[in-house]
Amino acid sequence: MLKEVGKVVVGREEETELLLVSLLARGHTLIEGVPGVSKTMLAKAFSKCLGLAFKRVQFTPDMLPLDIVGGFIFNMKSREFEFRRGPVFTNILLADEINRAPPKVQSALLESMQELQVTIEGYTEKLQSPFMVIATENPLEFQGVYPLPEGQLDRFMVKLKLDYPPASVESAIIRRNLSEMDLEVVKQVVSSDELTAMLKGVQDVRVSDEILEYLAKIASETRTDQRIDLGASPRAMIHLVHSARAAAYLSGREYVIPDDIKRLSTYVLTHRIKLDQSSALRDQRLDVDTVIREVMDRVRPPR
Amino acid sequence: MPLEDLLALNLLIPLDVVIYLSLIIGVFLTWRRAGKPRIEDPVLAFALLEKSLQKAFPDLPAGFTLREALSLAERLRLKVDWGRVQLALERYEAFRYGGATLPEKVQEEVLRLAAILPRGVRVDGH
Repeated sequence: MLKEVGKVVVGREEETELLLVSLLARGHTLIEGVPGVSKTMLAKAFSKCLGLAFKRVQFTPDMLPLDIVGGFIFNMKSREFEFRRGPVFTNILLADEINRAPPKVQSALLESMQELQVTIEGYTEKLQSPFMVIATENPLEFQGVYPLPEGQLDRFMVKLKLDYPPASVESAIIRRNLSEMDLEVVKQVVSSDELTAMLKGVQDVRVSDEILEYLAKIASETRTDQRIDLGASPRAMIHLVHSARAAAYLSGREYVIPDDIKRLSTYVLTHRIKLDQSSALRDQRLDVDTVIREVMDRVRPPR
Repeated sequence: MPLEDLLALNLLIPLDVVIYLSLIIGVFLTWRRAGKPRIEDPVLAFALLEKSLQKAFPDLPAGFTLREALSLAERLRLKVDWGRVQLALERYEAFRYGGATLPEKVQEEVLRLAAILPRGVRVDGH
């Protein structure tokens, strides 16, 4: 799969694997990155590899919830209201620049992410399975954006930061783009049955009591660290353990080990933890990733 | 002395040699075994390895995992069969976190590593 995605997106193996982890753990992913770092291409290639239905929505300030979840439209012929499905009825939805849409639209989407169904005027329709939102946001934009509040950020299982690639990778990207990039070169490598089996396999991955205690200690440490204003929520820890199960499954293990938790902690916790403003002002270099790494360094894992 | 008695006496000499030799070998083998670390329980073996790793890399944070510490130890290029250490670790993890049966006799290389790890190595390898 990494090879197939690598045909059109260079140097994003880790991110591709984390997208798969998120999908297998039935989570959603938030990608933060400046324009032009292959966010859209990565999402497209990823869904094509898995043979999943894919839709992309460019979020704008004038959007309505109807544009995402759909709504009832009056049919002049039958003289009845008919439910017209919105782009959310797909397997993988790329919500491009999610923070450009007003909060009403964001919350309509996030509700679908949580409930895996859409309810409009008492009519409920389930979403397709698997369903995954890959939302993107540009970290450098401050005007005309509606930042996602903490409660909504918490719905995303994983946050990936797509930085500019290193020079060696960048030259490979430019070389590959000398001829026109075509998504047709990406082949489906996982069948529908295989994906179903993978989703089921993740459910069977064992999490020992020691690992659960380790998770509880991490959560507690994030809540008592003086530099953190808002620590990890119980939902964050649930997302962490689910993603660790998916990572363990992809590593060929039937059990979670402390290394799975440590590896995924940055990706799962970074967007949920809010630093204390005075600590951030005292130490300009202090960032959430560093604080999470230090927390993980302090908490003794089972050995 | 009658000939029969003389023959019996001569037969006793090699018998004595065999008895004393087996006694000496037995004492030597017991002494050698006592010199080697012998821990049958893999949990204790890995606890011993953990202590040795902490002494080898005193800069390791409290939150280190065995895999992380072993990847640092691997860089020291010690004469250890890393394949067997890896296998032992995987079986130990399967027992510890996966509910597999307690592995037997996979910890010999782990004990060997615990015994030869140097002390006071900085995490960057110096």
